[in-house]
Amino acid sequence: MLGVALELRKISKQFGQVLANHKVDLKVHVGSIHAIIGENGAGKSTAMKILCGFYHQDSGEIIVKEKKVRWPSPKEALASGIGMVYQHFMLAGTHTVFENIVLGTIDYPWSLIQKKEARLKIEKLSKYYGLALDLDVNVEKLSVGEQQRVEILKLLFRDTDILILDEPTAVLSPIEIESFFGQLRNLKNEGKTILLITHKLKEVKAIADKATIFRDGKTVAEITPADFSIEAMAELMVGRKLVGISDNRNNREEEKSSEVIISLPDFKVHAGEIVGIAGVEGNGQRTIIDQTLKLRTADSGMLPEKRLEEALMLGASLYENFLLTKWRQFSWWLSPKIIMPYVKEVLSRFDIRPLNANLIAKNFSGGNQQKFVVGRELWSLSRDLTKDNFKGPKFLLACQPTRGVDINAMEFIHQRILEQRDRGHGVLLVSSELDELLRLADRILVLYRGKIVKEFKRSEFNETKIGLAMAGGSSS
Amino acid sequence: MILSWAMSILRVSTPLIFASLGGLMSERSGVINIALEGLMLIGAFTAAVVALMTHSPYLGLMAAIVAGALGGLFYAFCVLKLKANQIISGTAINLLAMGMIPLILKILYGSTGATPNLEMNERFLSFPLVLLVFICALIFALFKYTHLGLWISFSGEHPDALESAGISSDKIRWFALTCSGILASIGGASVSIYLSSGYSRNMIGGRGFMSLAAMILGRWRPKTTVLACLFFGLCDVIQMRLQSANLSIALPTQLIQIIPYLMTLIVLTGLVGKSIAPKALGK
Repeated sequence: MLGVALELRKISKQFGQVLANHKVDLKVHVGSIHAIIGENGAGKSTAMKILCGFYHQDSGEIIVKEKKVRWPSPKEALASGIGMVYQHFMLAGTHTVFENIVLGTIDYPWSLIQKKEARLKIEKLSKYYGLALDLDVNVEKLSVGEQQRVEILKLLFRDTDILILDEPTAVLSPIEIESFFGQLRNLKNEGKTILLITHKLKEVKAIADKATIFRDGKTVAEITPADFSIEAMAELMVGRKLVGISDNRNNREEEKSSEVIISLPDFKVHAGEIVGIAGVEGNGQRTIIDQTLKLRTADSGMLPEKRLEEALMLGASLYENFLLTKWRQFSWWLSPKIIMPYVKEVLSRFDIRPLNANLIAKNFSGGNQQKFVVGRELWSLSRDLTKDNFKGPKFLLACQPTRGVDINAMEFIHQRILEQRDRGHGVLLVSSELDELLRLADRILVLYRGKIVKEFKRSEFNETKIGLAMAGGSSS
Repeated sequence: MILSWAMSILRVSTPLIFASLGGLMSERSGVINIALEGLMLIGAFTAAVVALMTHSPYLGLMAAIVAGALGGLFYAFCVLKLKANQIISGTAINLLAMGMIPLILKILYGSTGATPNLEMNERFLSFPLVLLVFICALIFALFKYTHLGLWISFSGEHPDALESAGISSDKIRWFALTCSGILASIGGASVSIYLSSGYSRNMIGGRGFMSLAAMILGRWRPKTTVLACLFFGLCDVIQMRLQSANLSIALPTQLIQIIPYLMTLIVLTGLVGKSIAPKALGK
């Protein structure tokens, strides 16, 4: 094994009341791909931002290439060879690839842009690492995968040898992920050190040499992913045994109901069916969502993609947020005496903590906010004798229902979606996570450039074929 | 005949070109600048007063540059340091200039309307044109060939990208707004000590806003912006020639004077099409 590229020793960082990092230890070897895994809010991004000089640790030390360092700003970290590719790319669409790459590499404002030299260097790098790009097109014309290449070239151009990548595969189609991994291996073989922040354990197993697991702001383990099963890694990440979801679909005959729940221009959703929409983001999902919203009736629920902007008023209490979509079910006089018990019912049934409907939404964690939205949308005042208020709406539109939630909340939400189906209701599931679709959907429709290009029945589900269709390739 | 038209167009476009390049500096860096009108007023007034006092148009211009820089810095202070709303602070500067100038005029010359007339030797004959060519070349080169130009542009398109490359977008904006103030002020000065002889009320007459319009028509690019200014200059020349021509039908002069403004409106609503403003403009 080669030397140590960098080391974090007992790094702690506090934001207000929250201890984001508590005695974090990390050791990364030169020329390795090291995964940083953990759930949202586990402190992995904070640790990486400290490493890049965006934040400063309260205590503990950073050692890079056997020297103790403390960066005043990201600039110095970059100068010492540590660079980060952010989840949201730092590229200006109206500028060319070339301009985006050379930005900020010269300190003197009035110096001319050295086109020839810089070009030569970029072309050499892109050939060497297999990152083919046209330098003269505007970045906005590139696919997301190509934009990512620009970001990586940007770092290589600055002679970065420790690359930190934040959730790099979140925006890529399965095909792009494969070629992206190829690029990472190239980089590794040339002696670059790569830190990969991710929550996708399958990818960790596929590519990482080592992995450090974060939980509740601490580093709980350093493992060799090759020796661990995905389930074992997940349990380390969550800190307890996972229950898993029960799906009784497999024990049941495939029965197709002819009752149409909702009829869109391009397809229908039947009773007792989960229709999944697959596709790389921005390939027409918005159109389908908008079409669905137009056909919405009183008996339909909606889990929007951007929960914080579209489903919750962050500054209002959960009680008020409950009324936001449910006020129609009560009389014109909204009496807290009558309604509050129902809100409490949602909170306790969906295990939302703290169990206080008068607290404003902002004070709840992301997972709890999410669970509240799910709970609210599945709630409807029962009009029959069963008094069961959680029969759920006849039709549910779920867009990226588990984005940004921890594993427990994810299992919970998946279970609820499956229950909807078992009750004979219809669900339209729009998700960019193929695993989620494979797990839940009865049918998957693949979107590419605004059109449905392929349909898969559950018996035909095949990750490679669906992935290929998502990238616009035909599968035969 | 063609030469005389070309010269008049160039003359009347001069203040527009200075000011709209000023607006371009500001907006490309991501800051909306509707204070151009006020900054032009400040420039026109300062240049006229100092030229009167010192009998030198060059000193007048220098003073206008200083005043413009201060105006630009003040605007930068409002929107960058105090994080004030850009439209409101810009309007405030416009109103401030419109209110303060008559007051100072009254103190200096006992009249709120105008400064005394400048003698011929206190005015410019052609120097602003030379300066114009120089400034145009400088700004074209800035955006095309220099790192600074790239930084200004990134500051308007994606400030976070600039920050992550280790350059402070706030610093770039301070610089760009100061330049913007200077350029607008030179534009104003060229109205009072080049096109006319002295400052008079309503002298700028919306040229600041027209410069903004030209910049938008020019799609925030230096070359097309200059062309748009020349187009507005052409409208102005047509308007002036129509006024002095013996027309067979008696058109009210107001109707003729309206031409450049009408063209601004038509062009901005009809011809611009999809706007391609810097993405982080106003944020």
